[in-house]
Amino acid sequence: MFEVSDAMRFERPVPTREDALRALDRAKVLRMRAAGKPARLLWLLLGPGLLVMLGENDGPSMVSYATTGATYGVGFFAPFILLTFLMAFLVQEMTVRLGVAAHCGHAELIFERFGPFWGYFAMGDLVFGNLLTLVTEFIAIQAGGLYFGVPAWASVLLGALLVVGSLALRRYATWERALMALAVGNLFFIPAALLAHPDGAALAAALASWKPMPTTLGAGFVTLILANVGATVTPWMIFFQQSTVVDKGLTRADLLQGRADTAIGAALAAVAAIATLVASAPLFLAHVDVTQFASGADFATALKPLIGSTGATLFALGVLEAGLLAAMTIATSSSYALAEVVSAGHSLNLDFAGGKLFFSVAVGSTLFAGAIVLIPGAPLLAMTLTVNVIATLLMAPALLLLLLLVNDREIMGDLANGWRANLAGGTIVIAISLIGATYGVITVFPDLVGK
Amino acid sequence: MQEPMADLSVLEPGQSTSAARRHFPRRVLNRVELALLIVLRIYVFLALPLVVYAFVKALYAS
Repeated sequence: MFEVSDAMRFERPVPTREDALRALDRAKVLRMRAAGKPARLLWLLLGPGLLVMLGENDGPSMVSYATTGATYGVGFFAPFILLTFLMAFLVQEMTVRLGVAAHCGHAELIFERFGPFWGYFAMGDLVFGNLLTLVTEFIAIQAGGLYFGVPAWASVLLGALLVVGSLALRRYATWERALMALAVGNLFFIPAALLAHPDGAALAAALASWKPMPTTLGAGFVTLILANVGATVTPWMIFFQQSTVVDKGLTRADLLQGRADTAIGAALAAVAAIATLVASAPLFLAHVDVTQFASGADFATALKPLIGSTGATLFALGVLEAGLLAAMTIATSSSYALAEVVSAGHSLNLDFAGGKLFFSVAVGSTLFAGAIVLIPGAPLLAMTLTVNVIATLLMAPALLLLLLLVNDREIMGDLANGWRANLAGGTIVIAISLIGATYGVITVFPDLVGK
Repeated sequence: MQEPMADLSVLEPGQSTSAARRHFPRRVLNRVELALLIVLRIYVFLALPLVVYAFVKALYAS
């Protein structure tokens, strides 16, 4: 597959396949930087930010945006979604800095710097949350398939094969480009929104004024606020982006492009999320009750008479893509984290023999999640609801640990957080904690707030 | 077809597989950091039963 130059055989202890493939990718980056071609350089360095942001626009997230659009129309929530993606950018930018400074993954950093309690907690939170989230992604894949008349077992089997097949590429750069091509499907929601013939002036006014505000601010409104936050900022994103930044081989010299990658990803994901809101708004105008809708495919079916079969088909395709891309990224984030903490090989550049644990975790969790969805009578709705609770409640600890790490000057050096980043990060931690607490109170005492 | 030769000198010191296995030492926490982590532990011990409660509740609802 590759050769290692003789000189290097003596300079480094044991050059591996992973080192050699990463070196080939780095050499391309260095050549492009030397040639002074900024656009080509950015193209080479795009990836982790785009995938994490579009990956988080997953099956349950698109259902949250669709429910929001169908319940409240376009108004307060359009700028609110923009704000949540700004928050996501601020958080993920910290993981890029942490990755280029530490050259190691988030899970192993927590373990080493804060000890086994926080290491095991972070791992347990991530792996359990990811497993449940994977189930919800397969629910989206299954539902998307059913819209096109594909039996549930066939959609789930095909989805699982595609996830496993993506891992068989055995090269980070190829895997990344394949997922980026798939992520284009997240933008299907944009033409679907245009087919809903939205009022451009009303959308612009809503983005500028945060109006019209919903007339009732009860539990339903609060739950959608929480769901929209949970749809944008979750613990797996932190682990995934730091690990992929390291696997891709980004360095301090690539920080500008790493930030641009994250910003472009956040902007595209925000546009796709707002497009989903806009595409679902006709259901609000038609007073369709969506409280019993369980998946994105239910929205596509309900939208068919309102935005036409092309729009509904694009919507269903978007839901399918959302589930599939997220299944690939989330399964990989579990693999990275678990392999990192037990010091096993953890790279998409590994061959199967060198990455037994790494690949087994992704394949095992994918097959497990797919199988759960196909069990008749499995508590899928309970799992979907619990995913939201876990994501919202356990995001605060994940963020606080991230903040502590990006302030760790032994690791970060001059890339450590300044006061502005700490102010922004601290505000986000407090906001997410309050949101988590509110979610907790609403869950335990649902009668405290009106409907 | 033979792949191009990999020049490992383009990797930064921390980027090679062998360097990645070098561990960071346990961090010495100051008082504020220690207090934050204690508060966080309390939060976690309150949040975990809530997660279980939410799951059981959703299970009955579905």
